[in-house]
Amino acid sequence: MIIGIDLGTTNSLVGYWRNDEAILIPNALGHLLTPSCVSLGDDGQILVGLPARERLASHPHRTAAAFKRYMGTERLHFLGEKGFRPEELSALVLRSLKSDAEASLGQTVHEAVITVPAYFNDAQRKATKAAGELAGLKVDILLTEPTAAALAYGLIGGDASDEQTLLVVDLGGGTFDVSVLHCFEGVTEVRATAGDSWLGGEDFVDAIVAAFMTGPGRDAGLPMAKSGASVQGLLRRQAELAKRELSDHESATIEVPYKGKAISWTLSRDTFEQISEPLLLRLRSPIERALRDARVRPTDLTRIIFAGGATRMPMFRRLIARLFQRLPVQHINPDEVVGRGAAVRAGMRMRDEGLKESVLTDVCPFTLGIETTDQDVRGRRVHGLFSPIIERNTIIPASRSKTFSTIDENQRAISVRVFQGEGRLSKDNILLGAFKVRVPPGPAGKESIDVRFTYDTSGLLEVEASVLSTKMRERIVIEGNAGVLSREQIKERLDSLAKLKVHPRNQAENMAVIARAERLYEERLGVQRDQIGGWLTEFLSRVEDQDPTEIEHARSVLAERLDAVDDKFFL
Amino acid sequence: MWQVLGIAATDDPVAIRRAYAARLKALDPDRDPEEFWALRRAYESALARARHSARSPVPPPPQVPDAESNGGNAAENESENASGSDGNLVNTSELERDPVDSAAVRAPTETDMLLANAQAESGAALGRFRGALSERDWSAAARELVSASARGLLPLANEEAHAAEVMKGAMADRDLSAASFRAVAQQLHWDGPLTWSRGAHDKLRQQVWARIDAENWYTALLEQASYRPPGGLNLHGWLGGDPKQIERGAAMMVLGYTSANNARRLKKWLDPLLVQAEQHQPWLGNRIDPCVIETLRDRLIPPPKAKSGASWIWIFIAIALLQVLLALANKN
Repeated sequence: MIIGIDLGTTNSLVGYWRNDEAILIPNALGHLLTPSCVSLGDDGQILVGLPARERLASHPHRTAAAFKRYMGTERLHFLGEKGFRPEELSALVLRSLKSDAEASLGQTVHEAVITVPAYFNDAQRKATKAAGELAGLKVDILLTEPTAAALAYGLIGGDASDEQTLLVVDLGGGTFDVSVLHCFEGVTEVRATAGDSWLGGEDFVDAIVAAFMTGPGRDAGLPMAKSGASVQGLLRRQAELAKRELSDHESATIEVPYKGKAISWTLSRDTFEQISEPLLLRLRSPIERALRDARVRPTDLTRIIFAGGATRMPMFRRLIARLFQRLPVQHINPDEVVGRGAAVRAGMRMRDEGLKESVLTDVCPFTLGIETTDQDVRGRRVHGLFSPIIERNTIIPASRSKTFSTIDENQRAISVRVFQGEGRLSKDNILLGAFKVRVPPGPAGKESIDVRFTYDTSGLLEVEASVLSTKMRERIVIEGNAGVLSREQIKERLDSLAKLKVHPRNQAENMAVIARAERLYEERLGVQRDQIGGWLTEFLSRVEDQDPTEIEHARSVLAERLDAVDDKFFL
Repeated sequence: MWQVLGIAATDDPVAIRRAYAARLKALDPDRDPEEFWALRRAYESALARARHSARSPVPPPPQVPDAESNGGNAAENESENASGSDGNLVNTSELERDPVDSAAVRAPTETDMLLANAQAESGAALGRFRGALSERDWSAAARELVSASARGLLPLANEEAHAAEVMKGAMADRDLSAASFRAVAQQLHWDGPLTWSRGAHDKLRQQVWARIDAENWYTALLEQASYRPPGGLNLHGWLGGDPKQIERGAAMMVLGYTSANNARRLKKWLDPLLVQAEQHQPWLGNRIDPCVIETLRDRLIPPPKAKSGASWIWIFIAIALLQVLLALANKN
């Protein structure tokens, strides 16, 4: 069985394809969305999903969220004493999704299709693959999120004569992606993609937090964000709630308890829009470039599709609607659309009969090339130039080559430095890897090498250089740069992850409700706080007794009580 | 190429696409990349040929169309665009035409809400923008522009030209303080390299960076000079163009009030500084006087003292030798 996974910045989903339909699998709590959060419990066990997110406010030092933003880097998140790489945290989320899928399907799952933002670079994609491996999943296909969205809308296959040009706008928790897709005769071609892997819903929350900290927060002497102090965790949560509330209401109130008092601030939709303007401005250029690269005019588009929870924001909808003079398609829940698409792709991977008639071609999102030295008209050397080999938005799998020759007399080796990016100079681009090719000594310019780049459908790059005179070959699969784990490292991490104790699935509901009560205890003040504390103690003693029916009863009682005081629950 | 596609030569793009689709479905690009590339090449050249022989206008390449061009050449574009040449008004019938769309719209009022008043608002915003420009209030103009773009009041690809107008104005305004110039550039995201730039305003963009660099350099310099005047000279005064200070400093150097060692140190420190100053000169014109730099250059010619120092040693040795000779003569 192959499953499809949407590994998101904020939430993740898992699904599969059966009976001509994408089916999303609920987690142990019965929710389709599993928050991409990991927390280290007080008993040393790992919590994943909603219970972990609840602990974000109460135990910020033992909890990690939004780690997808650091995929492809070596940044460690500390849960208590232990540092985790983004791949490992993602692997824990994937493992939890995998066990949800196994519980629901009644069979073991070995392979998955995982979605990545179209604008993820090589290192970020490799890290995502590594995360899958760490979770015990074979990941042959990384599907880009906009493509997944189009798949979910069933715009592929279908009526063969229906030729369509689609624009997919995906504003997720942490990334922004734009893709232009062309569908005809059951073929879906990604014509161009662009995006910003540092722009998403979380940035809008950050904007609210920043506005609070410079306004009412500073007046009340609230300490600035310092290593995730508890107050900051609560503030962030309140800001997230306010962001959601402002989608339906004209204003929202943020209340943060500090030194026994509540700092209250009412944020109007207009103010929110004003503080978000710099972020909205950043949405425009990727849209522009995707259209330009695809050679498509706004009026040529037959449909616009929204994906990602942040596309619910009225200001975002208004911006897109005004730019394109129409409203986007969105009858699938924007939170689920990518997950559903991943399930469709998983079905295609299994070569399901119902999907045989559709094919998908993708493009590489960045220009890839090597560093070269050239001579200007006066014969002076210009170093560090970037010479593109595969241009951005080339259809993949792609294979291109270029020939380069020696520049010095008796040069013994040519060093091939592989870069990714759009800058004219290599220093403005990202170094992916480097190697050297030996060449026989001779006059400058006599020896040349042929550098071939091969980019496969999941966005992994292989570089091969061959010396024309000696037929010597040197090749690397771009791996082992700073942010990417090597094969041995993955093995090592796999062992250490196996040793981690994860809370058993059947306890997930208890953990979620406890974490929620703890969070509410920190959030509230006075009588309500004592009340919540009392309820929690009562429930914990029931859990100690270990009587399943008693626990279940107590849990539903506690959940009801919490619902009564906490109406702002969200997924 | 027609062989690969498996059809007879044709100029009909639909037939080409159909043939390509049929072939593509029969192969797996992951497993047979070579075959896929061959097919893709054939498909692309067939399409290019079809396009060429149809003489249909190629979609305008590097220019993203703006609202104004909407009504214009819609030659090979089936989607009728009735919204007219102003292109700013909503064509609500478009929503009704598309069954999926109308099902998706939560309530028809939302469309009206989102698109309503767009034209009036955009007119007002542009008015405020022009007003700020004519009052030379660059920061306000930038604010208006950002706000209009964020609210979708400007057609795609239009804000860069407007931003260029603001930056041009700000560049020409020599009275603008360094901090406010930087702030305006920041507001418009013109303060750093932009991978999205269309290249239309690259020259201006580079000038903006050069000026920001110059301002940063000058700020750092003033900071440095204010707490540690090297060689006892008041650099702040020099660079501020205070002639008295320059004369004093230069005189001190020439008259040897500063030791040779000190002068050498000062030169070492000042030389790259002067090069930089010259480089940034166009942007700091009213703050660093070019004459000052010239004066400094002239005065920094190494004083011919080292030689004389060396000859003193020779004279000393000569005297010592003489004394030794005299002593020997006395003995004899």
